[in-house]
Amino acid sequence: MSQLATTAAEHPVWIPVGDEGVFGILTEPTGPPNGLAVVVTSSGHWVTTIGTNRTYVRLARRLAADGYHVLRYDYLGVGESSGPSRPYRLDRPFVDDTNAVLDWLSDRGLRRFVLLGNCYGARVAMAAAEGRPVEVAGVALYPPAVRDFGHGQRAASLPLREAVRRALARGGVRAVVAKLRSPAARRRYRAALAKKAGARRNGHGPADGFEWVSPDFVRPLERLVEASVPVLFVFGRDEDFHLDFQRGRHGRLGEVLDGAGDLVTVTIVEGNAHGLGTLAVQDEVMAALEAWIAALPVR
Amino acid sequence: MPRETSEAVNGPARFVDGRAGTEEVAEFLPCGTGERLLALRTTPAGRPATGGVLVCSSIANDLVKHYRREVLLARALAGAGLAVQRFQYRGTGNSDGDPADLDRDSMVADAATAAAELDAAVPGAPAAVVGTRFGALVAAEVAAGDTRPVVLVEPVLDGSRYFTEAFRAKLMQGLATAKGERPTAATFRSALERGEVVDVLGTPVHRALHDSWQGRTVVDALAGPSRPVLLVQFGDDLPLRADLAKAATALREAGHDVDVAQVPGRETWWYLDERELIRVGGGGHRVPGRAVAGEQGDAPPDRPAVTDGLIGAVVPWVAAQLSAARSAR
Repeated sequence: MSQLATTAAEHPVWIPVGDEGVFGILTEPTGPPNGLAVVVTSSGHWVTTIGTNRTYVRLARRLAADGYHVLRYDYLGVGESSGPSRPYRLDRPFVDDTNAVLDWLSDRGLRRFVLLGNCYGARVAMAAAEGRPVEVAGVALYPPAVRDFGHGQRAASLPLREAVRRALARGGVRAVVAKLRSPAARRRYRAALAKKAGARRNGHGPADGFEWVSPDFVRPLERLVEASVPVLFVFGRDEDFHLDFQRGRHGRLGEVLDGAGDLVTVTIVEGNAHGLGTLAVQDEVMAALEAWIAALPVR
Repeated sequence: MPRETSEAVNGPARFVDGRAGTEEVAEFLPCGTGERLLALRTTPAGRPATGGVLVCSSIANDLVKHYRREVLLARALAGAGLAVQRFQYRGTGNSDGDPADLDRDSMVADAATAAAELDAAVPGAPAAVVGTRFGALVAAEVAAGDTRPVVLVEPVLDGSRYFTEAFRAKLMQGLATAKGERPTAATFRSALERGEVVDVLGTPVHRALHDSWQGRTVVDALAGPSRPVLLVQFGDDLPLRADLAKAATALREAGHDVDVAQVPGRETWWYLDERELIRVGGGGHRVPGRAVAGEQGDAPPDRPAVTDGLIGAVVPWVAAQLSAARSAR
């Protein structure tokens, strides 16, 4: 590995998307260029080119030392980009922004891409790669949201039995009781229970046919596997996304994974990879990404 | 008027928004240490700026959460004819530097570097300083020796208290997940004294940062020349924070002309993901006319209201202060 990149190897850009401008930072390789461009797609919650604790910045500078060009960018309506804010919908990822970024890199002679996406960004990476698999050398999802749910409704959208099971597994009965000491928490749990009970009475509640894996997740994965694009999943052992992934393997997802063979790699790290909320998990996830990328064919 | 972008390898990037009448420049500024910081300047397009505004951002997850608001605030200020300079401290964001080296001296020096860049962009124009959360401490220090108007948004008023809050936030997160013996704030302080790094919600707190801000307060930093000060609190339906009310009184007693604005909405500082707070029984705040965070489906939680309120409170105030400063010259 060459010396880690610094801002000396970086330059900010605004990439035109129609009338708007996507802001990004391109990190040039500090080692011998290998021809691959890594594109970092941000997670939701208005995370910018920086990422939690500069994970995107650190990742870009480390990969540049291994010869990769790396571009991290803000979606339109986020960070430094222009345009109005848009809701983060897992079933409607911001693909246009990403395609503009890939086209911009392509115009500069970089025509083989590795896409890295966390949470919402994983859906963006999958959707963008699905549309141009020939140009994609690999897609890393660390971790992806496997099923669809509204903003802030990850837990509330679960079947009641599963939500309770996960809450108990996470902190035990004592932790749940401790949380319920708060009047606000009690009100919130009461409202969630009433909502779930009402949905069941009306026949709209998730029952045995609950969709653990979104078709918008399986379809692009299937197409990437068909196109022989390597895919990496990084999950935290106990996080919701991993539990959803495991539950979903009993259906179509399992068939796709079984047929994928070595194309799909699943790496499990300790803790909760979603949100990269601890220093330890950040290090583990970045190490997993780097090792997997290093093993990709570069030409 | 179309929007235009331009770039130069290893040079600044520009984005002109003809509809908004603003121009933005992103560049890396040298700081004299061999390192560079990312600086972003928003100016009125096609007309000279009549004043300048330096924005001192917060750090850690607060930086991420408030980021877009500062961008939109900068664009609104530029729309009012002012040049706005934002930057990211070395050791944070997209700038160079190791977070272990981040401390009061480096943060204030970086703010001074950005201020000099702003002065060069609008020479001779009056300027104001805006600081958000932890950035309020930096704003107060960098403005200490002059009479620039200062805007402090949801300010951290006491450096020592910030780290107490940080450790408390870490403990709250631990309540939802930890089993067995639980640490205390004293545990984390001891770890810093031993030279260890404390992981606060995924962001490292190093001893240099912690120690260098102990005992530093906004009120002490602004003990010098009198000036206009605007204190902004999120939450117009809440009583004024006790520490903010106390600071307003102290600043008035020190001779400053202090205004206080409370704007609609809330922010769950510290927590990048609202769900982290929901797990420990917080969050779920009710804003009139808006859904409770976590129940609102597609809509981002109360963000537009906070941003609109912030812009509505800050832009006219800063414009009026700088206009008065121009008239007084």
